[in-house]
Amino acid sequence: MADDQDALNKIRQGGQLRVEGVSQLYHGYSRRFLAYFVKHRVSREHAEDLVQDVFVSVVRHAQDFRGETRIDAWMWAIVRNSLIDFFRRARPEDPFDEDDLIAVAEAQPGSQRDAGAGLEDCVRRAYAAFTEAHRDRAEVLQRVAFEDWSIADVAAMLKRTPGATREYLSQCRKKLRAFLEPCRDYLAG
Amino acid sequence: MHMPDRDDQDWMDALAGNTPAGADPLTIREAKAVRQAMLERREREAAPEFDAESGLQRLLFRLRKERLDGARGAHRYVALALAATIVLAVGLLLFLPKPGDEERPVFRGAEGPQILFADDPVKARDELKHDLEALGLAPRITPQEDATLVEAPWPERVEERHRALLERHYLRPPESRTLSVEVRKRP
Repeated sequence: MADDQDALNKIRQGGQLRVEGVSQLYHGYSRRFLAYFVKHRVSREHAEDLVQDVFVSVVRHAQDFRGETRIDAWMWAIVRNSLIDFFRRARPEDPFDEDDLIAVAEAQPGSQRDAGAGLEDCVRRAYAAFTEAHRDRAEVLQRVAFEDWSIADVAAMLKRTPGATREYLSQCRKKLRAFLEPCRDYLAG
Repeated sequence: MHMPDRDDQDWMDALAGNTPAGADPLTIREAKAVRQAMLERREREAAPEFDAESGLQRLLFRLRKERLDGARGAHRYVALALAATIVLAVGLLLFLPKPGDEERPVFRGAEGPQILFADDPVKARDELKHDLEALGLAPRITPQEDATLVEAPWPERVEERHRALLERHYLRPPESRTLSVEVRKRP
């Protein structure tokens, strides 16, 4: 986080320092942003363009960032909005679920019903199916699980209030539990 | 409407690797099992192959093109620049040579070198030098403190092969008759 702040400060300075700051953030995050877009089934070519758009937006709005959240949460909000805008432009006629970032027409009901052999195997399959059906929710849970994100950080990414974010996370758990149903006996055992 | 509750919070805490006191053991067990599955998936999923250096150069080029490179002083001295422009315009009107007078000289503003970041600046310098030589442009290499300056005369009539060289190295067309590039180690 200190590195991110250092990079953002450089970007705000302009000139050669801006180049250095952009380079720092780009090398730190571009691959992950690309992976995010590709996971959401954006073509490789468009995904690379979207990564560029994200960093241009970071530079454009660097002065607006007030430090209410982590810088990476702020950037992930830009990433997510870029994806939403991309989907809306690609298929303006399709209804769109912003919670899951999939067109309603594309949503598939969970089909994982085979419990597999043992708890680990069952939960692995369940999580895989959940990720397929709710890619964006899985991304958010990843941030919570491995990157120490708070409710405020998730709220910044989703552009929601803390209360609405808690509800969103509660829904994430509820949807995941639907996929974990076949694993109930293993979990209870 | 489903209301988030203490159990949800405990589940989130356990998902993050903690063991909240007083939590339902089943909640903890479930969250830890999910965490393990997430960790395995995360380790298995390889990030896409990605040439970050080329992407960065494209980005820097685009920032320059969109005037987002924040050239120092550009926005701070707009009023001063405008005043200077007005004075210059008045001066020119007063002192413009009449038709038939000797052709007046054209002064071009100085342009700083373009910056090229590279993981291997020696290799990047050599590649640029090689490409310039292949076009018959004699580059001059000047070592500097933490960079290498590559300069080459730029033709007045730019052909497709010159444009291709610029594109290959993510450079913009020079405003003057000299292509000037500072090759630096990526920070």
